[in-house]
Amino acid sequence: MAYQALYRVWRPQFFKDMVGQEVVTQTLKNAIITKQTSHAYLFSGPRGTGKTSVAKIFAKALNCLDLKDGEPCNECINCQAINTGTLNDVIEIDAASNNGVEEIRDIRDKVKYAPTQGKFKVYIIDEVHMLSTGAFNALLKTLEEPPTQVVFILATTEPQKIPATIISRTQRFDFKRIKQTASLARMEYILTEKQIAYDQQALQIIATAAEGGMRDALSILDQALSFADNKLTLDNALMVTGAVTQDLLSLYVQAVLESDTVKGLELLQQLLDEGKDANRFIEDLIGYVRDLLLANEAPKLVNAIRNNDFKTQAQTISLQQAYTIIEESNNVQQQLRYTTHADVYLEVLTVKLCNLSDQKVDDTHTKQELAFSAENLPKKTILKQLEKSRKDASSITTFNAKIPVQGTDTKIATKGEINKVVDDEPTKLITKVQKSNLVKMDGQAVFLTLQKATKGALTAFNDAYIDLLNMLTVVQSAKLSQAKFVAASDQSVVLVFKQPYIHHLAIQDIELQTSIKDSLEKLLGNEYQLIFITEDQWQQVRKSYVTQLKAKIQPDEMQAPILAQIELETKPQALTVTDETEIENEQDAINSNLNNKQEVASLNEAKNAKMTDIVNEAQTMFGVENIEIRKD
Amino acid sequence: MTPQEIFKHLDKHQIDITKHFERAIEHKRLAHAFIFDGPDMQQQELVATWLAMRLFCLNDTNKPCGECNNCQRIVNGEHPDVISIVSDNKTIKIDEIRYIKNEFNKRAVEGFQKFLIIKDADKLTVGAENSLLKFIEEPQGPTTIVLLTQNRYALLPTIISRTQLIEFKGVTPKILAKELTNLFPKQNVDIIKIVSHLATDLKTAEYIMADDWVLESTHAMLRWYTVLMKQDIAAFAMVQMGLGPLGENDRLKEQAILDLCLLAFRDVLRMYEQREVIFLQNIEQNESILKITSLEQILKIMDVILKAPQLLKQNINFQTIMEKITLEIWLILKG
Repeated sequence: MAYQALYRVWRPQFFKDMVGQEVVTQTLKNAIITKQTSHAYLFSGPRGTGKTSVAKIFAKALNCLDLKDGEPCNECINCQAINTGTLNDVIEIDAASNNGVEEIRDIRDKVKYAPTQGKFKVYIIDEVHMLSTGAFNALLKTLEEPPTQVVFILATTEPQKIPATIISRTQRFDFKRIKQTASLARMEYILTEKQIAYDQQALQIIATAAEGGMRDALSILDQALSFADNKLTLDNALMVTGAVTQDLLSLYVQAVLESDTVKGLELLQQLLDEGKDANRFIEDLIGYVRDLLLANEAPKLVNAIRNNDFKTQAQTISLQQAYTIIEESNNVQQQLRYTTHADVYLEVLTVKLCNLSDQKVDDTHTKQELAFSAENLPKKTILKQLEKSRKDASSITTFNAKIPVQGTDTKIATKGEINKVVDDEPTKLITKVQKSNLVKMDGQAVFLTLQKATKGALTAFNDAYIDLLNMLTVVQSAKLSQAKFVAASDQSVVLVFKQPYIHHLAIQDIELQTSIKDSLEKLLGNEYQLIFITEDQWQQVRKSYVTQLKAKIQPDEMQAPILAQIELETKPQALTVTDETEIENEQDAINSNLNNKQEVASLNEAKNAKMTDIVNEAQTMFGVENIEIRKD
Repeated sequence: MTPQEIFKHLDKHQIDITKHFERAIEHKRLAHAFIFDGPDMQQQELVATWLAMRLFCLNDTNKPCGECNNCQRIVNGEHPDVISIVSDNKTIKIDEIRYIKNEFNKRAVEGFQKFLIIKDADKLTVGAENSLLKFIEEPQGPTTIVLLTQNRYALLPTIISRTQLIEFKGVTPKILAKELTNLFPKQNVDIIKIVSHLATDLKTAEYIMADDWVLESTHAMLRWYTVLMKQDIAAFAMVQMGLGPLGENDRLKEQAILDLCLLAFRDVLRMYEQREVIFLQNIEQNESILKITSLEQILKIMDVILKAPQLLKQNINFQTIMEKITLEIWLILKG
């Protein structure tokens, strides 16, 4: 006879052998004693908690000829036949491979025949969550009202996949994870029965690694035993589970708490070199930090034995730190499923964790700064504060020199400054353009136009609009297509832009302005002053003009309102253009960044224009200084 | 490989594991189901074959003889009771498992025991895995089942709890580099070093090294990296023009490119710790990069890259993944 795994040999044969499921077993025993068994049961719970075992014992108890206090005897013909799997009335079905409607129909057809040898016909449907929807539905009627003497037992690890209509027709039993103490006791029992010497701590490690599954525990135990003859040692248990020793784990957490990245990485390398499993390491880490958390709040819940450093660590670690460590580790654990480079993931995790406390320092810094700026201090005190902070800064730099990791703080600062400089540039540009005489954009100019405006002039402009668009380049007309003439006199004309961003582009685009001016001159035979404003501003100016007109104020005395500030939705960005074809792609990228459709439309038109146009366009959009043209 | 070559190879590389099995068989403690987990599939296959030979060998010694009829047939894959499932497709479906289970319900053709090897067990669909559960737990008659995988976390926990897990250590980059230097004496030293960190087993390494693919992709990756680190969005276009097509719709190569990307940014991280860099050697930019990027940014970037393999597994188009990475990194660098 070939060797049988421990979990098969030691599969419980009595209800009393079941570990950690007292509620379930007692209920079932009572049901059998009082003959109040139901016709359908659903056993659900995590792996290795005894669902199939209980189902088998229950089947035996139902058919046993010599029932003792609700327990099967395991000696009568029926019990023995079930144990060897030869009783025709106990049918064990693997729903995962027989998951179709066909197989369920087969059950339905045969269910009506009375049991041959036993008292009950028991169908044990294991892994029932794998049945197809059709199969579940085909089972419904049979499950609700099977013939007498038929019992269904459904077992699954994933009850959430079972339709509610199935669950409502069954008595449901939830199997709990097996507590460490319970599985420890069971393993001790088995080892004593087998007369194998064991190390208590080794059993503890196996029980932890099993995560509440008895079968897992026995599998691991089996494997650890196969390494040595007739004894269980701590080393073997550690080797099989890939668990990390307490000391190493404690050192690692210490490094994290002290923000000692170098040390942390060294320890990690050591772990990996020893061939420890990445996933197990993360689990152990989470377990350790969990215990650190609990050590302060509820010391009784810490069930593992920890060393001396543990106490001091428990006092130093902050709640926030512990949460973050657990959360980050958990994230990495998820990602490990998809990679073969687990070491890199752990490396990144280590660096991240070791820099947690740095962030904490940063936070307090900014808080101080905020408080400082919020206070409305007299000038002198501010000057003093500045002086002081400058001294602080110099002391910080010396501090940085000592610890390379924290040097990043200063780097961030310099980077922030660079960003600032970049941000400032567009504003400078705008002020520069505003001074050019080509275009006006103030309320007074609009008022002047309105005072002299004639309907005839406006119509003339609107008639010329299409011709004007045709005379401009594609890019220019795309911009202008977003604008319309709203008022015109014989000297000036007001153009209103729907989109503030296009308006912003137009007032910067001197080329556009000149060509509009020239084209208008060609079309209408006169030189006009251009006035560019946005839709909102136009509404504002017109309203104010109308109210003043109604109040019968003389045109010369009218006061033009100060125009509202234009709020730009998008800031122009610095770009480097490397390749002609790439420009197109870049335009695409920019397009997707801009969140209004019309701009996208106009820029799409722009794409069709000649390449030189695009380069020019890019220059005007982002400023000549920000663009570097290279031909590859 | 001939049986003798297999023995020699295993004695050199996997002596611990074969010793373990020898001991287990000697004490009649061999379990019925195993998972072999490790980066190098070839090693696992060899050990699985060795184990089958050990169990079926006609000469009853503690080591397989490699000469008897059974040993010979197992090595050549001709023994009727040693069945191995190898799938060229992306998944191993439930129908295949059903067929196998059916076969294993019958008695062995010769002798009394059967042996099943499932290669790339992580390719099993969820349905297939579930249908294996009962079979693995209590197979009919004397049966040994070995699942080979490179990533056991892709398997159901219920499968793992029914088996004994044997971990295979991967080859260290140093050893890999040594073997690659023997195989490709003309190849550039730097390239060999990169590949040795890229691949976790010799087979993949050889596959990547074939023709000039590795050279091209490292260059493309370097160009992309350099441009991207200048905060230049042109890197986005480089994906379409360079890196994307280099994937060649080949899962292994796509994975390798993602790993290259991982190596590159891991090097940036390494620079922070002042450790040796692998991929970014001889790059003038290195110094300045530390000045313009903060550690925080690098960690954020690593997060983006570390999530990429998951996307690839979910069958998302490779170019899309690279473009996503590029944009996200660019945004992070922009601050």
